[in-house]
Amino acid sequence: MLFFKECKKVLFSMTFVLYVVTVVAMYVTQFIHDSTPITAPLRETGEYGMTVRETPEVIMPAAVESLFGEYLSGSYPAYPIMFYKNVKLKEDKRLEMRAILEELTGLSGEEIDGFEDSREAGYFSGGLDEAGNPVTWYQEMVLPPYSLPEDLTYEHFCELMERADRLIGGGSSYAVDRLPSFFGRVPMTYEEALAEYEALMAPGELGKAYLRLHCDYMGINLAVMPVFVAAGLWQQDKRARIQALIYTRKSSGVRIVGTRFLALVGCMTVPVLLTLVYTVYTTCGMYPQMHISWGSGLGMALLWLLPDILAVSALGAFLTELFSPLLAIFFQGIWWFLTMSRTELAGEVARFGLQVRHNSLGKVALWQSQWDNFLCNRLALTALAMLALALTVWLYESRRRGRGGRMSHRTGSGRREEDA
Amino acid sequence: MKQQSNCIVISHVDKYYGKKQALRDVDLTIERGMFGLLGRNGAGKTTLMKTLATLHEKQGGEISVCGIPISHASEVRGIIGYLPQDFSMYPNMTVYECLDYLGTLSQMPRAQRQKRIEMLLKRVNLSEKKRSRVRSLSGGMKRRLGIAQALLHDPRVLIVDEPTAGLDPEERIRFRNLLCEVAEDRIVILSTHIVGDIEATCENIAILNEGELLWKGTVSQLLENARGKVYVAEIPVSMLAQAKRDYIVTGMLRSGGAVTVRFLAGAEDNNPAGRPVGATAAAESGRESGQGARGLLPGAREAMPNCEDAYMYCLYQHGCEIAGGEE
Repeated sequence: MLFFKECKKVLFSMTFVLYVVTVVAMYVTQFIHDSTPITAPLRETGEYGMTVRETPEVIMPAAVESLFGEYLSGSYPAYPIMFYKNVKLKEDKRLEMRAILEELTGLSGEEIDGFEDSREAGYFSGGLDEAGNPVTWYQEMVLPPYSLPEDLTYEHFCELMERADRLIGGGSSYAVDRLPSFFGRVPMTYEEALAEYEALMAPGELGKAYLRLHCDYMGINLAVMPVFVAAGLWQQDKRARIQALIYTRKSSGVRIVGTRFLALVGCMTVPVLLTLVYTVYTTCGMYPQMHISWGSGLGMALLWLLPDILAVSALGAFLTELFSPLLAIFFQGIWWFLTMSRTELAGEVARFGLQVRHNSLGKVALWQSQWDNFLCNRLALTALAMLALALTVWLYESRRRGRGGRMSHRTGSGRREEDA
Repeated sequence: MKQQSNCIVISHVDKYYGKKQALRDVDLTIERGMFGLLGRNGAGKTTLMKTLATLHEKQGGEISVCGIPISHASEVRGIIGYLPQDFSMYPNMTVYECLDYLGTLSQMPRAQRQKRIEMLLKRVNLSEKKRSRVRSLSGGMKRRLGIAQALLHDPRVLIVDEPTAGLDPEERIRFRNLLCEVAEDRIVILSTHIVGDIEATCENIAILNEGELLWKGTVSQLLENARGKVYVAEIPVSMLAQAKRDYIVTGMLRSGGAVTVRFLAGAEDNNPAGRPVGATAAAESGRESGQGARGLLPGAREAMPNCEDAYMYCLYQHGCEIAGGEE
């Protein structure tokens, strides 16, 4: 059967070994954590963790204090494309930033620039204690006295923050959609913690919670690694110069391309399934007294991860057939990188996009509110996979009949056949 | 109709690569047995072979393979076997795995695959290598594996493109004989620029040049066409340069201070390009068998043409530019 022969080609390829290594590495280093089970919050502890809330009274002072400190130090940390960048503003932009601060603090430009005792918050060390150990202490940020204007609305504050983010070049903590996660962290109340716990312990939800976190990490890997395996398999024919032999066989392009694609997806799904089984096994071990329902959770996990494998494999095959394996990998790498840099760890799920993230065991209500978006995202990605697969079949048949310009002449050694 | 179902009919076929015409009004019928396609590098042989193998689309004309129009590519693929010029396989697969894989792509049932693979490996003398990886095979073995894969689904037409290039003489003869054996019950089209391969194996041939069909017929007709145009003379080495300038020299053998030259002469009247060769006087005065013709090299005598002479003469006759033997 052609399917098993194609599977054998996939399984014995170096790119598949690389894929398995990365899947296992991602699972072991990111997902496998301490096996302490989740327990109900105890009122007497008084601490129930932190949560993020979009509370203007919390966000506004914290964000202004941070921006003021960064202005005085002259450097603004940002992550414009995922990587850290220490931004220093030119004079014209610095003055614009000062104008924003003037509006936010009620201080004049001269008062802001004239303050010379500013100090950034941080840990400092110096000297030795009685035992001879180095002494370390935390220093609060030192800023000139100011207060937020009483008539400052949250909407106007957001506009000013957006301007500040633009001056920095984007990717700063002042981007409006990031304000709550950077400056809106507040301690959870007991009631909130209890509600979160009860949501997790609702029927079917505990298994889902662990599988969600599993899929969150695995999705990072599956949004890029399958392209290596797909490009490697599709390139095999060109590298072995066997295209002409295969093209002249009776099998249709649909059968050849379709079987290869199924073999790719099948082989790449197996390690993912094994890690899912291991997650189920370890989670059951953490809650020996509980009956955890896994059915809907496993369904969700497949719905989460399978479209990634389908889409990345199909696009990899299509771009390798159209251009080259390197270009396919490059394209997928760029898409993955941009998506990673723009997707929140846990928050709103984009209706269209490569990745879904929910990097938390909790936040059940947030996840449930995003379910429709999640379905739309996964179905769109599956549709993209089917489109790329159909285009690959079409391209394969065109190549087979020598259509498609210069590239179509490369059915064998790569030289033009009229030379022969 | 019955006749058409056993042969390949190519009528007025054109093929372009961009603006360059690779095949020009090619008109040919190929019947059962060995058929040789001869021509220089760049003559269009591989283009024609690939068009027959459904790897290229023609731009004009009609082709039917055993009664099936070439546009029905899937059906045509079911009855053709193709051995490309640069045959290659997945290097990590074993010989058996390769054939099994290609047999699966030909949609052969498993039992039939097993039977045919065993039989063909025996026939091409590779039974002992069936568990060897392809990368470990010699050039000759790879070509034999190539012919085995092309015959795997028992095709009615076998298309082999330059199969003997790079083989040592023993492997070449062995391969030619193998092709002759399989041609007993099918059409075998052999494309090559090695005239000796055609002479040793094919009865019917066609000569292509710059995409145009120059000649079609039997080998004996081609030889007959060159009869009376081939001469042999023994001349001093000092005259060799002059001889190469004046004649189309098809062979020479040095022996001490003399050289035996084989050359074409007396062909101007048939050459539309009218390339002058120094045999005008011979054409006017006729041949002087054994004694050397007037206007020919001294001591020249007529010789029986071989296939190479006849091929060169055919090219010359049709006005093709022939690189002389000038040093």
